[in-house]
Amino acid sequence: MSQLDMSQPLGNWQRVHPIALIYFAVQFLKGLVSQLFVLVPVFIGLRSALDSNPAAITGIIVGASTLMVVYAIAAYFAFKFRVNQDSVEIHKGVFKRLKLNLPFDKIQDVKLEQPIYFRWHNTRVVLLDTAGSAKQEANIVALPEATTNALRDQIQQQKSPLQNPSAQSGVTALDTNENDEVLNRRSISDLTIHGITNNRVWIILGAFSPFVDDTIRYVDNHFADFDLLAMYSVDQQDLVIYLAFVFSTALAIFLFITLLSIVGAIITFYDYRLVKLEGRLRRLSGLLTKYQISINISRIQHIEYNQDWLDGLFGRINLVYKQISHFAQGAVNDKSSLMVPSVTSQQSVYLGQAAFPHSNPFEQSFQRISKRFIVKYSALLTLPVTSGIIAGVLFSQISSLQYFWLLVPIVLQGMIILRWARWGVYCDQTHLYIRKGLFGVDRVVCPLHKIQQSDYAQSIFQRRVGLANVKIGLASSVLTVPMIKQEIALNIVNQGLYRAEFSDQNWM
Amino acid sequence: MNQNILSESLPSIEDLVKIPLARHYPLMCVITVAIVDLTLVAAGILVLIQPFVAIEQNIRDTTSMLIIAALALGVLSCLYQWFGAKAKFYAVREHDISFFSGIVFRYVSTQPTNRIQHVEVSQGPIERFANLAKLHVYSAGSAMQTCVIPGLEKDKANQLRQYLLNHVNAEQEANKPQENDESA
Repeated sequence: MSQLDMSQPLGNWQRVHPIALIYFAVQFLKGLVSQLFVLVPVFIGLRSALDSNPAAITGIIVGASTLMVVYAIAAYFAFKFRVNQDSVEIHKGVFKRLKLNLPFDKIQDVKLEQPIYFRWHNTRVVLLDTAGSAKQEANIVALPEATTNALRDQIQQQKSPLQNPSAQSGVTALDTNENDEVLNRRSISDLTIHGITNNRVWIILGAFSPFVDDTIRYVDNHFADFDLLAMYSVDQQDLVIYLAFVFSTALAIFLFITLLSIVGAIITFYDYRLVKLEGRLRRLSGLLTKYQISINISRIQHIEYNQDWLDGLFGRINLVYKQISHFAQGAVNDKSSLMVPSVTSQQSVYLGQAAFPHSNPFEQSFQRISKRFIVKYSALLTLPVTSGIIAGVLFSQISSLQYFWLLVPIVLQGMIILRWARWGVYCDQTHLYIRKGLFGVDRVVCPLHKIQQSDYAQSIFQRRVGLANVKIGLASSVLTVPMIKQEIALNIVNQGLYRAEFSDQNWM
Repeated sequence: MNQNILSESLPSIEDLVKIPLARHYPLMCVITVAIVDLTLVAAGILVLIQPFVAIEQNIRDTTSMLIIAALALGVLSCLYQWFGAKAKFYAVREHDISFFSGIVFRYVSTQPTNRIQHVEVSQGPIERFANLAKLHVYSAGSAMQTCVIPGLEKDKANQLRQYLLNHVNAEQEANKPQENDESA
């Protein structure tokens, strides 16, 4: 049987569409790339042998390609599935045979992906999202649309306690219908802003800084006429030219990475639509691979309004709906959140309120935490760092440059004060609002009746001055607020417990 | 109907009635630490007095210092365990269970019973000897948020476990017709 026979019921063992061969080949390549860090030293070790024998490189490429084809064919024939009355069975794996049996009542969600090479045959990958087993991958590859719908119907006929009973038709569609309520769309310009504000250029530059010298040396060896080392050497250049080189290189790298980040944002979020449909929020997006992620509104535990400092400059916010991420096993599954990238604050409030009604978190009168926070972290961080630097400056050879080190504690202290200024909390009778951050500002809103557990902590010193810390456990994450007035902390805990214990609203 | 409730009129965790753990729990904590510490000290002394291998003087000195340090640390951690155990309490209200702990930092963790997913009683070898047990209360939060009450007499732990399970089952039963109403 080479192709799925649609006349056959799903109850029999099925092979998937042969287009899955491409999927398995891509999986093999992905595996190979993820092992690159292991393979690079091997190739460096073999470099001299390879240099003297160029045919070996061809041999390696041919070998790897053959292995990829053999793997894809083996994986294709190893993969089969069937749908029983109350479960899906999947057999897969080439080296390690895996037999999965997924009862319908353990399936939280049915997600869909359509990689670009699946578009010709309009097939898709079905991801069966199971509660609490983040490691267990239950994907059925290359299913035609009709089979996907048949599978979805069969899963939904069984009422799972983890599924929203009201969620019905269209859950797995990769496109929107006329009747769907589209809450938000993201244009290319929005995604460009997202790419700029959320690029990780600083982290990438930081991570690669140890290799900069090696890279320059390597490039220098290969471009002998182009004296790079001299260009970046202070001894051989005027300081102004040197600075110009450093600055222009940094700018070029910065622009290149920003461009990459913009391209990344567009590939992931192209044609972004957030749709509200019968108790669910569904995100549709993707340029090459089309993604459809849907979450149950009733299972959203808290909402984050995240604004990095760059987001702040553009007045944009990343809104994140956070739903249950673990089921007692402690396995965190980050796929369970849904983000709306770079929306304006007005849009973010509208979208936030689509999940659960709450007040505008940008207009709350947040209570600041105690200034003792600054004192505590100054004593723990700034004081030792300053003492260390002063000792270093005093006991080493004095040079005017060393005094620049004294900027470190000043910056550190500034960061502590900024962190203190960001912290804020507000609790009304139904919701808890927390503001925090360092350069950026993140606001979190959670309905009090969704609280799983509360922790109230107070040191003996804090008790004397009437301060306390609060930790609120949600099924999505843990929210903490340090060093607030004791009465506010008690109010949050008591109010939260009261809502959790006596509210007639369900937490999921 | 959803009446507003003034926060002053809400039941407060400040008014919880603290129930102490088993009377011999602090002693068990001290004995557990002492066994580990004395094993280390004994190993050190064995190194010093064994007649088989000649040991250089500087190693002897270091070992002696380590033995003294282990003894001092042992005494300190025994004291810490004793007072730490004395500072632990639990409290049970109609709709939640709380656990108090900490000497310098005082913690009160409260777990509403209608959020409990699972309750477990466990016993280590020393606890079995002392007829004590730990009660683990799991919610849908992460593993870090599990509420663990140590130092309960075994019967008491089982009794509490059964009480909580009855509560969880009763609440699930009470919620059933409501869920049906919603889906209808």
